[in-house]
Formats: sequence, structure tokens, C-alpha cells
Amino acid sequence: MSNSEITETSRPISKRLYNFLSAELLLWREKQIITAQQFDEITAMYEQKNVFAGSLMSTGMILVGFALLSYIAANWLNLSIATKITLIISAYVGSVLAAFYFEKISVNMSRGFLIFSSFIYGGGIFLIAQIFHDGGHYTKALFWWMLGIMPVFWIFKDKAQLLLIQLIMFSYFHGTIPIFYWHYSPVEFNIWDILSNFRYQIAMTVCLWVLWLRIKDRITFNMNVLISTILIGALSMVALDGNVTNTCLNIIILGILMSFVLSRFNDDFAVWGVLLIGGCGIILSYPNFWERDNYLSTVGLIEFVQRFTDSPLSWICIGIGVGTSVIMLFLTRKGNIIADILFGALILRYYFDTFYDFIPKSMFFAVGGILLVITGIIFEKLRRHRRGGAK
Amino acid sequence: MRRFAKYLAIMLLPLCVLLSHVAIPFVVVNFGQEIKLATVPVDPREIFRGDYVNLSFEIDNVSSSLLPEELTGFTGQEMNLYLVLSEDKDGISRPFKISVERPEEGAYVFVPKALAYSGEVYLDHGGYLTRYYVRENTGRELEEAAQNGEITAIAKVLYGYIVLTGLK
Repeated sequence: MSNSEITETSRPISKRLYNFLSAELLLWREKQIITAQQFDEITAMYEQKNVFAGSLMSTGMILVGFALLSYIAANWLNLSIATKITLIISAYVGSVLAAFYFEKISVNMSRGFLIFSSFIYGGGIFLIAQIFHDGGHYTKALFWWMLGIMPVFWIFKDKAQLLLIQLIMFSYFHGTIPIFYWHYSPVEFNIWDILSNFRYQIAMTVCLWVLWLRIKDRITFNMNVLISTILIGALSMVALDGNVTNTCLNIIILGILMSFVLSRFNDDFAVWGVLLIGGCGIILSYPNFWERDNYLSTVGLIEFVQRFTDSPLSWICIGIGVGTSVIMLFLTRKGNIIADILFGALILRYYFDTFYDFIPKSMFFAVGGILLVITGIIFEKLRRHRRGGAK
Repeated sequence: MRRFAKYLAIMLLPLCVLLSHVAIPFVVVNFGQEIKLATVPVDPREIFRGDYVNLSFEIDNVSSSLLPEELTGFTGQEMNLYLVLSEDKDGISRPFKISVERPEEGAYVFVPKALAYSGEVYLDHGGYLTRYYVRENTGRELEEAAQNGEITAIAKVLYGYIVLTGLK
């Protein structure tokens, strides 16, 4: 490396990193991996950040910022409309320009200002609604907020921006898919009707996946799966007029699809599949969650079981519980920890329901504890067997 | 230059969104005609949320006799109508008639959606006449007055768009 390449300003790093780098470079020099000259050149490229001075400046800037915000908030109602709007637009543009300015100095600070600008933008939409007394539904503001942040993420591929959009999406769903207090009762089930009524939610979810393809990050992937699952579950409830049984059955089908098909594209789908199958399997093991009209009654399965027993629903619930246990055990043997947990939850569920009212409480908890210990030992042995006996 | 272009590009949509939310109401407030509207008692079962007052107006529900000839006897949903207002002796703007065509002159309010049912027409004005944001800790007094229909609202109208500017 020639001297001309190290005449630019040294890169500031933390004391911890600087000490680590110095120690490693000394080791490399001793082992003759690098020469003494290279040691000097590399060391000259870095300098310790002056943390104290930096902290003082940051604290000062934060206090000035708070003072400014406090002044504006206290006098907000006295400001003219034009002043308020100018402040909002200026704050937004200012934070984006600050992100531009700091990009060459510190990427993290630049990204910080970009996130700040996204919050100012969202806050600005709500403030403008307040200024003009717009009583429109808040979810419209959330929609425009998400849409406005998407170009930022697309261009900068900043995970924080995508996470912000995903978090807003939860609130958007909560406000626009009221499954718990609104029943959609079509005369005939019409999928195009459903798709049309919830086109924005579906379109935004698709957008989230398209955006995710830019970074293919694990955390945002799991958030996308969660959002998609909530959407499918909610639309299922709406389309089926709040039928919990059929919705759970739909989600089990989705879980099977994730576990055995989609998991080929991404391992995390297997985890989600297990969660969905196991969770809905536990719910459907309770007769209380079975509605009179459900898929099984439609295909005549309940009628068929009724030929052999007076309480077909109890046996179907037991069947669901057993089926779920078998699937969880199968997945446990493949190394799935979530399946372990859900299998344990199923055992506890049946243990509670069967014995809680019939044996003394002390014995109930003692036996329950022993069962959990035995289950834990079995799973540990299974895990060691999978790892070839290694501890 | 290319680096700066990226930052300009990301500002484009958010600034368009913010300015589009501002444009029409700003023009209405600054160049519109001032009118006064009578409020009607608000359903006391509505919960007071935050620092705003829920409002209900006389022009939200009008008699179906105000419907134009071509909609006489109509029940159901109708889109894109205009509520023409006329001032009474107290200076309050009252509902005068409903029109399917945009009026040439006078104060009128655009109604994106109207629902006509037995003798009455419910007019959905699209969000600008449902609440009024107030200073902290002043809303309760105003809400009680609004619940009793004692509030007069001041608004600006321009080309059918309406924006609240004050309460009395």
C-alpha cells in the first residue's frame, strides 16, 4: 500500500475496536504475516474516537432538539397554518438533507436521519389532518405513511425502514380488518368480493414481499410471514362469517403447505408451519371451538363418526389431538424445537383437562412436574441421538 | 450528483403526499367563503377521545323534500351530489336544496355519498365535518355544548370543498 493511499483522514473507531485491532496487528507482525511498514500504514488509517467529546456534543444536540420541540409544541396552536406546514415540510426535508450530508462521514448516522425523516413524514400526515380538522379514518394516514417509506427502502435497502413499514402494517390491519366485531355475510361466498374489499391490504402485503427480495433478511422475512399469516387468517374469518373451526382448518392446511412444500425454499417456513399446525391443532382439540357448520360436517365425516358413537365431536377432537401429536413427534425427530414445545403443550393440555378436577392439587402438580421432567429427558435423548451421541 | 439524486428521489413521494393533503384545504381556508353552520346534539353514547370534539351538523341529515326532481321518491345510495346552502336571518347557513349538477353560484358543499331512506337523506361529507381539534383540557366543555347543539361552527367553502375553521 503506497503512502498516497493513506493521506486521507483517519477513520474513527471505538477504543475497544482500536485496542483489538492494535493487538491483532502486533500478532500479525510478530508472525510476519505483515511487514513493519504495513503495520504502520494500517495503524495510521485508524484513530480512536473521542467518546467523551462526542457524548458531550450528542447530549448538547439532544437538549437543543428538545428545547426546540418543546417551544414548537407549546406554541403550536398559536402558529398560523402556513407556519405549521412550513415547519413540517422543513423538518422532513432537513432530516433527509442531513442524511445526505452525513452519508460520507457516518453511514449509521445517515441511516438514523433517514429513519427520523420517515417518522417526521408519518407525523406530518397526522398533524396536517389535525390542522384542517380532517376526521377521516386514521388508517388512510397509515396507508400513505407506508407508501411514502417504500421508495426510501427500495433505494437504500435499509432494514430499519422495512421493519417500520411492517410494524405500521399491523396497525393498518387492526384498523381495516375488524374481524371481531364485523361480520361479512355474503349471500353466496364470492372470492372476488373478498379480494375487492381487501385489495389494499392484499396489495400492501404483496409489496412487502417484493421489497423483502431486495435484502432477503431473516428478521424481515419472519415478519412478512407473520403479516401474511394474519392476513390469510383474518380474511378467512371474514369470508367464513367468523367461523373459528374452518379458519383453524384453513390455517392448518397453510401450515402443512409451509412445513412440507415452502420449507424447500426457506428453512424458516418449517418453523412457521409447525407453529401453525400445532397451535391450531391444540385449539381444535377443544370441543368448544367447533362450530356446527364446518368442513368436516360438509364432507359428512361427523355423520359417519356418529354411526359409531353418540358423541362424535369428542372423538374427532381426540383424533385432532392425536394427529397433531403425531405430526409434532415426527417433526421432533427431525430436530424441530418448536415441535418439542408444542408436543409438551398438548400433553399438558390433556393432563390439565383430565386430572385437574379429580385428584388432589398437590398430587396434580407433582405428577405434572414428573411428566414434564420425563418429557424433557425423552427430548434430550432424541436430540443427542440426532447429533450422533455428542454432548 | 448521482448521490444527491437518490435523496431527491426518496423525497418525491412523501412531499407529494404531504402537499396533496395540504393543497385543497389550504386554498379553501384562504380563499373560500365563510359560512356558519348549526350543530345538532351528538349521540351522548359517543366517547370523548383525545383532544378533539365530535360534531354533528344540521346539514348531515336533511329532509328528502330537498332532493331534486330526478331523485324524487328515491331511496338508497347516491354518489356525487351538491348541497346548496342559504343563509337565514341569523347568518346561519341552512340546507336549501340538493342538486346533481354543480351550482353556478352561492355556497354549496360537495357530497361524495348520500343515503336516502324513509323521508330523510344522510349526507356523508367525506371526513372534514366530523371533528374539531382543540387545545388540551378544553374539549369537555365544548363537547357538552356540542352535545346540546349549542355550538355554531365556522367553516370555509370553495367549489364544494368545506373546511372547519372555528367553533363558537
